Amino acid sequence: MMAAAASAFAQRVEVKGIGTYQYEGGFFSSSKPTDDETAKAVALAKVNAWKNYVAKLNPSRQQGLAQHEKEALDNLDRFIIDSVVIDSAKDTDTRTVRVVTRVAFNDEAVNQFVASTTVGANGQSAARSQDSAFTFLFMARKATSITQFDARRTRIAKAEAAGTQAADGGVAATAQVTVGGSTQRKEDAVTYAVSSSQDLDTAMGDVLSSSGIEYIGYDDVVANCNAVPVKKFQSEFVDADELSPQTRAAVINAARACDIRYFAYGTIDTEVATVDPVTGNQKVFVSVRSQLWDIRQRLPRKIGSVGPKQYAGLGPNQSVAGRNALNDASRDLARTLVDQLNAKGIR
Amino acid sequence: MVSVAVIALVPTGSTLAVEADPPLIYSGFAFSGDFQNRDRLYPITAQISRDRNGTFLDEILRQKVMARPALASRLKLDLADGKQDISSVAFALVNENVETQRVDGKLWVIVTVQANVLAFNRASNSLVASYPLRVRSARVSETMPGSAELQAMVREVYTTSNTSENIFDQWLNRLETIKLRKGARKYLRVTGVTMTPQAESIVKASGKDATSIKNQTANFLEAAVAEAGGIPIVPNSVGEAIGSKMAYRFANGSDLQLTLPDPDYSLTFEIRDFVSKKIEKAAYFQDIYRVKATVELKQPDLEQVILNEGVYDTAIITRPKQADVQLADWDQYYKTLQSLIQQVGKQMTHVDDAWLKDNASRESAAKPAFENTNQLIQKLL
Repeated sequence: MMAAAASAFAQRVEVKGIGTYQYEGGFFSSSKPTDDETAKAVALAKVNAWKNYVAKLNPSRQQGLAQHEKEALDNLDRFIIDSVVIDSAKDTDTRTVRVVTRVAFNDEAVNQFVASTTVGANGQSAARSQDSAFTFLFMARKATSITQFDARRTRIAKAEAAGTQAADGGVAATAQVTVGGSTQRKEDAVTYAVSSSQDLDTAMGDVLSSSGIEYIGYDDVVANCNAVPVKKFQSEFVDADELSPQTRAAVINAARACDIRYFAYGTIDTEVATVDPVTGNQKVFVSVRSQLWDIRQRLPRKIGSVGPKQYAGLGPNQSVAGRNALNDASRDLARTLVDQLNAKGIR
Repeated sequence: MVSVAVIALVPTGSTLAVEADPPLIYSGFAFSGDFQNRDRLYPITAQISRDRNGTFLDEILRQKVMARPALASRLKLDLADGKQDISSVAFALVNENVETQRVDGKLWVIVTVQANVLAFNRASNSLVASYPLRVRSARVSETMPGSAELQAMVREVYTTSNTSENIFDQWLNRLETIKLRKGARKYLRVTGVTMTPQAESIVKASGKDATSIKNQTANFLEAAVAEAGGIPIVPNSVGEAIGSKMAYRFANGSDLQLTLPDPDYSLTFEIRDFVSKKIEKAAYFQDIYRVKATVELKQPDLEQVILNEGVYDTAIITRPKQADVQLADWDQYYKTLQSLIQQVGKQMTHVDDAWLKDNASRESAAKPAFENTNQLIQKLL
């Protein structure tokens, strides 16, 4: 029994909702709601739980669901794994019954619904994909050292002395010292090195494939359309944290020559490991940002972006922690890109 | 030093046997809370856990699991990383407390170890259920015990061959009896313990840390209710949880940041006052200690109050004048507070008219609220 309950946990998201229904009451007792009226309050509570669930989704998916809200609500039971009525209360003055429910939604079923409604049925989506080829390019770098500077405190003391001679010949002297200064803090000096984006590509590819997104690998664009190989511009990115306009234009032009319509590119920075005070393990932060472009026309149009977002990974050593962070980052990034692509009708 | 009593506080409400349920992943021994607080929260257990390269406690627990074939066949013991999408169970240490009480002229050293049978899903970092249990061990000593003696007492709680006194055996007993419900469920949680200014002033005047006493009270209350009702309860983590996340660190160094569900029913406890009175008679002194509190249970979404009653407990101690026995007020207050919490837990499960008459501010008028609470607890099973 336990495993049956647990088997869907990865896709299971529990959310509460409250439903309020104004009742008329039964034939013999108008002071309390009928079973039918209570059931209506429960149904409203489930709808509100759904709204609370949707509110926690990323904007792209919210947008996808908003476009098909009626269809989603009409098929709400498809997304509900199970639910429990927690409690109810009736107010005899306002003749209302309020019900609070906890509803477990099937996240994966919602994903599939978003994909199918925004893209369309299988045949339709396949046809669309032919003129909406998609590829992505991510560049990764990792911090190899970080130098943190102590605050530099400059203290200035200015002394002034004044002497006055009194009528009786005595001399009175006063001294005044003015103290001030400033504190200068210098930002950390971080040095980076190129790192492989293979882990990221694999994790992203996993999510894209399981979401039904057909994509073309950048290496194939390089091989078939003379795109600039990643190795040629990696150092450019490591130093400047962005591609030069010329490199970017060359990459996009080559992709366009390969009939690519949608092109996502982004960067991923892996920071130096620190000790996590909560777990005592090594902790690595990864920062990700990405842009999604429609490159069909001569001037590319940006149709979506992600981040910059930070992800933290934990592990017994820097390598494991970094991989965990990268994995979480890639999957979340891919999920968001899928939603943005779905919103454009791409599968 | 003479060993006087070991009290295993074992729940009585749940008797369901282990069925041929699908396997659970054994996650082993874990400390609840932030790693950086481990030495402060569990100073003695943290020391003990470092034995055998940090595997000592987990090895004992693992051996005890292996000694129970039915349970061992249900638990996957390969310390999996938990990525599999089935439930995991852990021994989650919640509280270690050593206190000394001077009672009737004797120094009592009381060790309390509290843990949870923590069932969770690692793939989604979500709580499935948590069942608290405690073992209290008491000894009488002539002098204040040193750190080596205290460590020996705490170690005994984990290692003793007497199963009724061993926290690991109690944990396994509990694991064998629980049955995790399928699907969405209702969650109860101790959401707050507070003190009125006058109660807090007495705590401080006794040289005690009010925050620590509140945390202890939350732990006692959580265990008392869960044990009496045989119900799961969301870990209170008063002072430890950040938002709805709770950290756990396992023997193999892996960690878990568990998302705790919003409580459907919140239980709060306010300590209103500690009062005492000394009466002198011809042959003896009589010391009366009373702890007053308010217990509240409510459904937060509907703002529905199920229980809100003033309760109190009283301890009366008689000291023959010839004995020349001195009492430490705080020790008596704390003992009375624990007794009150234990009784409140029982009343929330099964109300007793005689107890209400003597311990509820509104006496029998409080009965309907406690009866409603009893009904609610049944729904949480």
